[in-house]
Amino acid sequence: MTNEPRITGPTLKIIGQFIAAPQEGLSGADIAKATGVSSGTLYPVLFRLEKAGWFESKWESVDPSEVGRPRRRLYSLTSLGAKKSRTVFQDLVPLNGRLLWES
Amino acid sequence: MGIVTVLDAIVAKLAVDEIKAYLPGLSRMVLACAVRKLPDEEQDRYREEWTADLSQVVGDISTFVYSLGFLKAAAVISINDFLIAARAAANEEQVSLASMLMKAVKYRVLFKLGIMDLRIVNWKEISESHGTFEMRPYQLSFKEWIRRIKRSLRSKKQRAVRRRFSD
Repeated sequence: MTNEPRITGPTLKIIGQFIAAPQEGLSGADIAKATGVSSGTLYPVLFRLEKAGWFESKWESVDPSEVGRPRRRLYSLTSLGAKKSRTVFQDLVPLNGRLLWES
Repeated sequence: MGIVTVLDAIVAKLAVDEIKAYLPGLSRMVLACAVRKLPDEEQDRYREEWTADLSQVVGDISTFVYSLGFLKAAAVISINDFLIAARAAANEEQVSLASMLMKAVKYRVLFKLGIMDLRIVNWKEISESHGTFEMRPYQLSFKEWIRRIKRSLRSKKQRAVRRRFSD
């Protein structure tokens, strides 16, 4: 059985956010704010992408007692994820401002 | 009419203030409830991650709405975790029946949802307690769903009768 994640609309939005502005790491709340994906959809997608090896996550390197809040979990695209994402986006074509599958 | 309108506005304002005062606590309660639904090994991580993410959301109502999403996220993550484990187990050469049963009991949420179930297919017995199998999720038909509800109600009734007689 395959471990490839299902590519859905929210998945594309989330991956697109990392491709458009590759940053060191984004927390779940940052991604939700940037993409408009609800928390109920966002975390399962991140979970699947992480299990599939497309994303990796690590704890923010701050001391919670110093910053006065818990450490954030920061997500970033792996090299495998970047490669797979490019393939996914190559199969998409823009049509009237929307993305459609080409194949 | 004017006094009623003013009173309405005051009562509405007080109600909103009251609700807003409770919202942060409610958000924390929802988060704790969602975390309990997660697989044991994921609970600590998501408790910290979601608490941090919740602190990034601005506004009490938005925070509460964001926390409600955790309930759905926890249910979906549990199911995904179960499916990943089941797939991994199915790919193994042998799997213990006891460990499979433990998993099934742990993730009874799948059965509680009542719309989805797992079917064991291609079971091959290797020994008395070990075998190989594949697990496939499937959606219950409406007829099957009704049948299960009836069976569950019937067994509940039987348990109640047994309890009465044992007392």
